[in-house]
Amino acid sequence: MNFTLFDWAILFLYLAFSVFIGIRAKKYVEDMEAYFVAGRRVRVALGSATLIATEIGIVTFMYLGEIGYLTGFSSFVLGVIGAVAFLIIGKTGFIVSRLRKLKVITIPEFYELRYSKGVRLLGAIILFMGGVLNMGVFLKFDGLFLGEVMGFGVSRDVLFIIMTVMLIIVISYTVLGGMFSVIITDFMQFIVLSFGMFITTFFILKSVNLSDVAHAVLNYYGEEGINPVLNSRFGWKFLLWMLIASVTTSGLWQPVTSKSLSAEDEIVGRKIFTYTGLTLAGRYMIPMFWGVCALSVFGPSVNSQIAMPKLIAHVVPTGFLGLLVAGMLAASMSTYSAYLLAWSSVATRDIIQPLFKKDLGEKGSINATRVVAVLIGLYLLFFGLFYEIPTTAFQYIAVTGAMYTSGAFGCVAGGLYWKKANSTGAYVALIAGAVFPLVFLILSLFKNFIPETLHFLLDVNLSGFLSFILASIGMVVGSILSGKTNPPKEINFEK
Amino acid sequence: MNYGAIFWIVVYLISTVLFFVVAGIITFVGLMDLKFLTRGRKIQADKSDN
Repeated sequence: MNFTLFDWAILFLYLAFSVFIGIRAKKYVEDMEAYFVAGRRVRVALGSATLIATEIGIVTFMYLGEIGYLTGFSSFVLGVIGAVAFLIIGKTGFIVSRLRKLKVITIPEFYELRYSKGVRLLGAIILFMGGVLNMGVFLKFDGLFLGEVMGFGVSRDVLFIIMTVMLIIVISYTVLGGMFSVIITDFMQFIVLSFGMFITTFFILKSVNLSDVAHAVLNYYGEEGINPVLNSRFGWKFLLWMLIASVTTSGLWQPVTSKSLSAEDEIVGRKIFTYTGLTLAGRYMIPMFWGVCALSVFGPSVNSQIAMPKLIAHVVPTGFLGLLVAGMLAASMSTYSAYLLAWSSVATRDIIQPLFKKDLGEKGSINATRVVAVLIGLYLLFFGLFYEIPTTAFQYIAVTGAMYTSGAFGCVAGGLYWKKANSTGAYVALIAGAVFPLVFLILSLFKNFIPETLHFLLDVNLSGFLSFILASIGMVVGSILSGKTNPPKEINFEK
Repeated sequence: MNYGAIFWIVVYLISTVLFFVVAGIITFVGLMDLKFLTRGRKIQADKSDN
């Protein structure tokens, strides 16, 4: 066990304080808009802090650390791409400004405004599936990280206990206080996680020599460790896919977009993206560098998923570990709370309500969201324990995200910026966008039975990249071919 | 040392410093935003009580 009594005390105090603050935020929730988008009163710094906290969790540290360990400096290109994507959105307001003007709460709501109720339902089902599959591995990686850093090991019993405790804490405040709790706790968690990242970076930089790290990368990976185009895990297909996916996901991923939809107005919404963009390269490269350092310290033959936490346990002195774990837990809790709220609000508002053709009312809607959040929590627990991911965690997260974002990009960008986009094009885009990632996920479960000629379908980079291309083509071709029989619906952005 | 490695280490150092500087500014200004968010809701709640 790496934890001392002092570490436990810090951790316990922090967790108790989080729950207290999160539950207290319930008093601010008086109506539906307050519950789902914090009354749309979020300003730039608070919005940026919560958006950064949402997008940093233990799982992001884990998959970024893993990709850093496996690909060396080449992985840093992903941080540059992510930063460019957020800055583009911040500068142009691409997608998010117009969505904020329309005052929608979820993205499928836009589908109904612009296309039809059927598109809203299909879009919501795909969004929900992609979202919960994507989130399915979060808890497992959190358990692996905490087990390794705290010195419990990574047995299934330990994972189960760690995962259950985390879930109970997050669900308790998310279901009660909605977006208010999410934003207030996210802000607090942002401070703690930044501090935790600072401590870890400090101790890692203190214990390694930059020149040794560079030599280790060159020694183990050669040019592949420096040049992402030459790296066999990346290549141009992956980089192109990431560039497209980063711009689209940033504007369309419900947990991210909901932060700009909670903003005071669309200008604030854009600024939130700009500030977050300034930190994005750092937030990718900091854990990637920890992974690269793990390569330098342990060599390339350690289990890639636990190399980075192993390094942290190795270099961070006991006494600081409590602060570090509190910071990491803060990061994860802020991600869970935002994701749980995002997916449960999509399930309630865009799937359950339209299917039952009944208005649940404000209270009914909030209560249904709470029930769905608890159910998603239970699913996370069991999926996380028993599912084995078929590729690196980074690529799994990207391909499950692509299931929704590829189609959504065609629908939302088409709907906002192209007058001829209609519901036929939207259906085709949503289906075409989901097909390749879904085929990849299903086939990878049976990869030993797949004939050699179909092995290209098991290429995660190809399926992610093609899903975007096909969805965009689907929107254009579907809308043009059916334009006369199914004229597009118009919406007014200025009202 | 290889030029590619030097390039990425410099990019890493700049990005890391930028992250912590922006994080510091956001923390400071965010505290005021948090006051605005929660105080605004309190006033609204009081008004609706009256």
